Amino acid sequence: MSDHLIEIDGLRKTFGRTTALDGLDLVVDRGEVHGFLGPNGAGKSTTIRILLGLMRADGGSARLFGGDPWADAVELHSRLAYVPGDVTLWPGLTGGQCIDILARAHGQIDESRRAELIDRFDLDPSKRSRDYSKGNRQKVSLVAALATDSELLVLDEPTSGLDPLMEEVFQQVVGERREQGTTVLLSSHILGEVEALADRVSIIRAGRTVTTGTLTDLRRHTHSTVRAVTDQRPALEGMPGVSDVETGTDDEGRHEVHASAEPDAVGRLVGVLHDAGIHTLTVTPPSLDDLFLQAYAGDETLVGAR
Amino acid sequence: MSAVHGVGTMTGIAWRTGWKGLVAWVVALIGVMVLTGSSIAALYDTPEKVAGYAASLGGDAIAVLNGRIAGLDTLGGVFANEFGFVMSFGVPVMAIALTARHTRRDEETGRLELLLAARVGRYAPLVAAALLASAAVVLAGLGIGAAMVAFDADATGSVRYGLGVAGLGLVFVGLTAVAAQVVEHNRAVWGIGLALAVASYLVRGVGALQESALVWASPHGWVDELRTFGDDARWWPLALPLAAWALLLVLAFWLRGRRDVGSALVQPRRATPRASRALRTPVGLAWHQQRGAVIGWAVGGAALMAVFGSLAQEIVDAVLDNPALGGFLGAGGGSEEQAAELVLSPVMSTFLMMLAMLVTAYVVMAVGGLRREEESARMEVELSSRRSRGGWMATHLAIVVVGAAVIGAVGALALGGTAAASLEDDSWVGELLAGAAAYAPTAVIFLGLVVALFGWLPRGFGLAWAVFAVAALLAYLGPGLGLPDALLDASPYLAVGQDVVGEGASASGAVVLTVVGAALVAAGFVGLRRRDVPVR
Repeated sequence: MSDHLIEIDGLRKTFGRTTALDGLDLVVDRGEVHGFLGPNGAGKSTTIRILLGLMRADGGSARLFGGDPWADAVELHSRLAYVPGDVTLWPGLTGGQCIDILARAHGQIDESRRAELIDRFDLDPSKRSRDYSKGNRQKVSLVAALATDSELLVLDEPTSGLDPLMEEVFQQVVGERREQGTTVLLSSHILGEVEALADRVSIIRAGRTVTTGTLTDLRRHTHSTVRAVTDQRPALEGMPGVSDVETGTDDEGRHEVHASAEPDAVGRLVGVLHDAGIHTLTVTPPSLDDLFLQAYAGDETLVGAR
Repeated sequence: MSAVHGVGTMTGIAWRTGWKGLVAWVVALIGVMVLTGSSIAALYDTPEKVAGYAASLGGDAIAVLNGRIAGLDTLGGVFANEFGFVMSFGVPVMAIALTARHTRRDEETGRLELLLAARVGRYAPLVAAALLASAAVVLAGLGIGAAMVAFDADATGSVRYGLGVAGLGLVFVGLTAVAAQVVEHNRAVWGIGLALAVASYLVRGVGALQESALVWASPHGWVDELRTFGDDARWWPLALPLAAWALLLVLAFWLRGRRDVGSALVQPRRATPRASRALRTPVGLAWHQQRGAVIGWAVGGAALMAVFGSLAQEIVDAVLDNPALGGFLGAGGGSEEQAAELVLSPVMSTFLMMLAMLVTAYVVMAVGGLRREEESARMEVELSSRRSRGGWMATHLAIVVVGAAVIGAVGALALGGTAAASLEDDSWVGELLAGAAAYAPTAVIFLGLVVALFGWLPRGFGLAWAVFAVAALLAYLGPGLGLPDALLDASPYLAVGQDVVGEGASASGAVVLTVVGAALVAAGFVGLRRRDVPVR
């Protein structure tokens, strides 16, 4: 059996005149936490619903555990647990009852893990779900999914409404599940969360995959920002891989330099700056925020970075 | 800044967000009166025909349903009687819907919290909601009165009737405003409002038949006590609904001042943190979701039917006391049992038809609940587990079918049991149970309609209620209006037979409804298997 638990290729879906997915690709390998990033309306939830056989694709292919999610939905679902982004639980049932029902639907529940998770997420399971705040409702879905022994966790913006303490708990728990070999597809907006958890990320925009790879990979394809103050004027003109060069002089007549450099040009750039006599130097690697913003804003230079 | 600051703003917001529903209610109620008026005016076009109307009703039995309408020998009285059933439930439901919408519903969703944080006083939302709902029922009442005048009813009487109808609405605006302070959820506000409407309707029915002072205990009775089109018409009973409206609103404001935003006088309790073994099964979960509705509808239907049934002997007496009708029956030379049978079978058929309408309304509402499962993403979660779409829907529908059977059986037993006790004749139990069974195809056809809509046109689910309203109106008003049988048979409630107790059920009607209903259910399953969840 292939090690790709999820394999999506050129997926297309339209709702009337709106194109939700326009050739989306996504591959999730066994045992990884895969961050699935994109702005609102990019098609994250639609992709997940097609993957769960809830919606039918108009084109392209989607494989889940090597099977067809539309035709074999029920069999495939026995191996996964799903947390939707926005679910209104049964209003008349308590949080604890909802957990039992959801967990039963997902598969066998691990009783000790259930108790432990309720404790760690600081959830009151005897309150009726209509009386919960948004964050507490989200905890119910999370506990139910995380308390099962599923091979694959599909989490659609699972931490919306959680406070930072609970966000921290969530990251620990997902980390532990990964140690145990669980695969996670994590659709998210929270960059810190993805940076902390994800082995690989896919960034999508307007129904297409803009970029996929490990964070290191992605960083390798993005520019670092270099700022320096040098004694002499550095000869930066025409250096390959260096762009956006700005120079000036400060009050004491030293040269201020600002430039952005491709990953493999950083070494040469610093060499040149060294020759000019470095006074101060900062090299800032691209943060996930930069990647995210660049991808969202439609910076096509990232396309094809795999 | 006073506690009522921002009433204008709040009224504007309530109007902007709710004007469609408000206008629809007003137009619908006036529209039904226009429809009634135009058909009656065409049918009863001479004073002689109008005078004969009362005799065609089968004496006083109709008072149970529509109250004791004064002046049944005038055109206005005929309008009022024909409109009676729509008014009895339409107006209270309108008042509940419009008042609950801008009070507890907006509060439950957190919208009021947002607005109260702005320059809006604590009482302003309640003032605005009461103002708008009250204006709407008064407008509807005046429109109904104007429609009656337009079809040549007595002008003063018509205005009096319209104001009486408005008064009934105002009482329910007040009751809903109070309920919205007492309980925390919109559903509960609706439950209280509807229960009070049914109770008021029943009390009026009993009082009207017995001609007792009990009618004064019911806001529905206050409308009748205006004696609108009678010789002893009077204005002063209008003071009762106005006083009740004012007192109830004062009570609502007082209660509002004593509680926090978002909370209620009745606080939620803690409950068990574990799901029982039964609740963890799909059937158990579906039953849990339907349980409250099934019990509520069954109890409400049984109460309604028990009141009707217990009046059986009084209905027979009332009819036999009528010299014209009594003489006619007596001349046949039949025994008292036969006379009772003759008088009661069409009346009992009408009661069973009302029960059938309750059962079908439950079916539409319960299957409509599947739409809420879908919108709330619970359906998505359940389908992402090891459950097929067909299995998911079949489980829910099984519960709906059982629920409908329970509501129908309990109602029929209540009617049959109380009628048998009243008449001291046990054969009525079996006869009415069989009669109720004859209405089963009406539930099948509506089940087919709603399941097909859920499978193929889920966003058009409101259509089901429109079909229900037309079918019920046709069955209720059609025969009185002398519409052709072909048109009457378009309503399932008449297609199964117009007097199932006396004349038996129509086999062809039952077969057609059942076959078409079953085919629609099957089509709905096919549609669900093919469509997106959630639908866009």
